[in-house]
Formats: sequence, structure tokens, C-alpha cells
Amino acid sequence: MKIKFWGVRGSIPTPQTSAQIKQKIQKIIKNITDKKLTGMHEINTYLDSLPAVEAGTIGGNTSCIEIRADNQLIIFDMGSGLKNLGNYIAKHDQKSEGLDIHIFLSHTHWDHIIGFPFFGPAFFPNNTIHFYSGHPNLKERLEIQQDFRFFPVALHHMGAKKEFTQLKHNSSISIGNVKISNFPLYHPGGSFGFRIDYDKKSFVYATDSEYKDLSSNNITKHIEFFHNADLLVFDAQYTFEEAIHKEDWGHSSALVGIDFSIQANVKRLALFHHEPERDDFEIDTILRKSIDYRNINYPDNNFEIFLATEGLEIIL
Amino acid sequence: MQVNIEKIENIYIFSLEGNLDSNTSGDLEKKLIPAIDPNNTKFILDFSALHYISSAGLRVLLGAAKKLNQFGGKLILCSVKPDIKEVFEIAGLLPIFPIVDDPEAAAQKILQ
Repeated sequence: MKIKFWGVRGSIPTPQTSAQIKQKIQKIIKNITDKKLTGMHEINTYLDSLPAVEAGTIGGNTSCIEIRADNQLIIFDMGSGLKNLGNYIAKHDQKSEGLDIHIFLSHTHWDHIIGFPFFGPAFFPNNTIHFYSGHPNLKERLEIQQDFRFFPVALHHMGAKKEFTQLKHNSSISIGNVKISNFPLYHPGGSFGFRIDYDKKSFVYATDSEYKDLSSNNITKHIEFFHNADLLVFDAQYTFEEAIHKEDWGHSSALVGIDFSIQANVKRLALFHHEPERDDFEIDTILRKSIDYRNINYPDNNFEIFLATEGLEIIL
Repeated sequence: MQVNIEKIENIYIFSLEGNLDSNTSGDLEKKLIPAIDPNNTKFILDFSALHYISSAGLRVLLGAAKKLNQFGGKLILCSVKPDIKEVFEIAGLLPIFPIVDDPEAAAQKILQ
């Protein structure tokens, strides 16, 4: 199973500002000077060694993840990252006989659907887009988004065939040999987590979720859903302290994700749905503090914690 | 986790022993939150025998702080191990929970 992040930001697309880019350039120039690097080969090697937070960006597009498994193309959420994924699919996958594209929606808040009007493959008449959602009336919701008052191209003018499936809560469906289960999450208007099981590997996507009662009686079902996941993508929009003050805003923190990961025996934890008010360095600070928390509370368990970053690919 | 509760004059002292996590936070919550009311607003949590605190434990303490805030009350932590203090720092909670060295210092601070 291959997983690629196309959008990792929460709430609203967040391009980097000129000041933020300048800050990174200054830091890189200072390091190159301090290290006395001269030739372009040396400089390029150094640049290649830097993480995205320093020499690129964590990413400003909103939630969108591509999953390839059993020759199926599956997408979780249609945030602004879907536009670039659509361009990639049109260039590398498009066939004259058409494609089947399976899109699962956690919910229909703007940051999870705004990419669809710009999704190139939806304009190919031979393609079929299969939508899956735990919410009712998904077609109507997307039609409203593309009402002429808000967008010039109506949903029905996007030529691909569209099929809509409302998922029964806590159920599973299969696409080829890929099993996809859903799980309701606490979020204003409701949200759904998804778990993919394929070829003895499992991937859980649990974004836009708040956990108000963390006692064991209340989180048992979550732990079961996350159990033994090879990768958990978790809503870490807020710091722990922010999550308390923003009660009922529907988001969580990295510390909660770490505690869940320990209890559920998760192998790798990706912090996701980054707060748009934070710059890349502030988000990286959350990662470093999260690793400190894991080291203090669980010194015998070095499971990997990392930032979901636009363009990052993971093979399970 | 053991929770030992004492009340000296109008100050509640909760001494926690063991681990405060998702398995034990519910027990503390049942004891701590109902004890807070307009007539009982001074609380000391003695962490000298607490080995570990997770997000579930932090959440209960924040619930207590929030309820105490309604009544203008105080919650002071004392005898906190360095690792646990660092967890409070990581969680951004040091501004919310005053931490002092021992129960005597906590009593002094709560009576100020």
C-alpha cells in the first residue's frame, strides 16, 4: 500500500508568506556560510539533507491523501490538495477507457471539499468517481458548493460519472481486496475516521475529531479502531492547552494521539491537520515537544512520530 | 492509582500514588470534581508518589481548574517530579497550575 499526502493543513489553505520564505532563506544562507560550503555540489547536498520545514514547506493545502493498493485509486478527502493530485492523475494515470476513482469523505466542511471543483479527472466523461460518506445527501452538498452563486461550473457539468454511497456507520466495504471501515468521530456536524486493511497492513485516517473524555471506558472503541495500525494519521491541530480552551471546536492534540498510539500499539503516528495560524517552525516545535512527551512517558517505546508533510510518500 | 484525601480546616489535600492515565483518571475525576463547590475552593494535589501522568490525567486536572475558576478557587501542585513537571511544560499548562516544592509551601501559597 502506498500513501501520499497532498494536503495536510487544517481549516483553510495557508500559503507561506514572503516573510516566512525570507526567514528560511536567511537561515539557509547563514548555515551555508558557517559551514563554509562553496561549490554547487556541496550546497545541493546540504540542501537535500534538510527537512521540508527548513528547505521547503510542511504544506499549505488542506486535507487530501492518496492511497494506492491492489491497483485501486482511493482518496481520503477533497481539500485543496486534491487539485494537485488531480493534475498528477491526469498526467500519469488517465486512460482513454476511463478510471475508477474512489473518494471517501470524513465530512463536508469546506477544507475537506473545496478541491473538488478543480479536480481535473472529474471532467473526463469516461471516468467514474465513486463517492463514499457517512453523511446523507452528499450529492446535494457538493451541488450547493458549486451553485452558480459560488462557482461558475455546476457539479453536473463536470463530465465524469458520479456514484454516491452513504456508508452505514461502523461498517466496512471492499474495493477489490482493500477493506475500508468507517468510525464516527466527534466533530461539529459529525466526522468519520477510515481504516484501510490490505495485504496484512493497516492505515487509519482519523482527522477532525475531539476527545473530551479520555478515560478508558470512553476511548475503548477508538483504541479498537486504531489497534495495531501500521500508520495512524491523527488530528493534531491544537496544542493540548489550546484544545481545552477550544472545547467543541472539534480538534485534538498530538499528546492525545501519542497516548492513543501507545494503547492501540500503533507503529507510526503522523501529526495532521496543522493549525493555519502556525508557521512551519512552530509546527515543527509541536513535533519536537511530542517526541519529548513520548520519551518521558514511554521511554521503552520508540514508535515513530512525524509531521504529515505535503508530498510525503509512505509505503506500508 | 491510590487517591488519599485529607481535609485540614478548609483545605483539601489529594495525595496521588501511582500512575494517572486513562485507566485511573476516571477514579480521580469522580473524587475531585464533586468535592469542588462554593464552600470548598482550596485544593492541594500532592504528587510526591505520582510516577506518571498522561493526557487523560491532565484533562481531569484542567476540569478541576475550570470548575474552581468559577468559584475563585485555587489548585496548587506540590512535590512534582521533574519528568512530570516537564509534561506540564510540554502541554503548556505551567501558567495554569502553580507548582511548589512541598505541602507546606502549597499551604502557604493557597492561603495568600
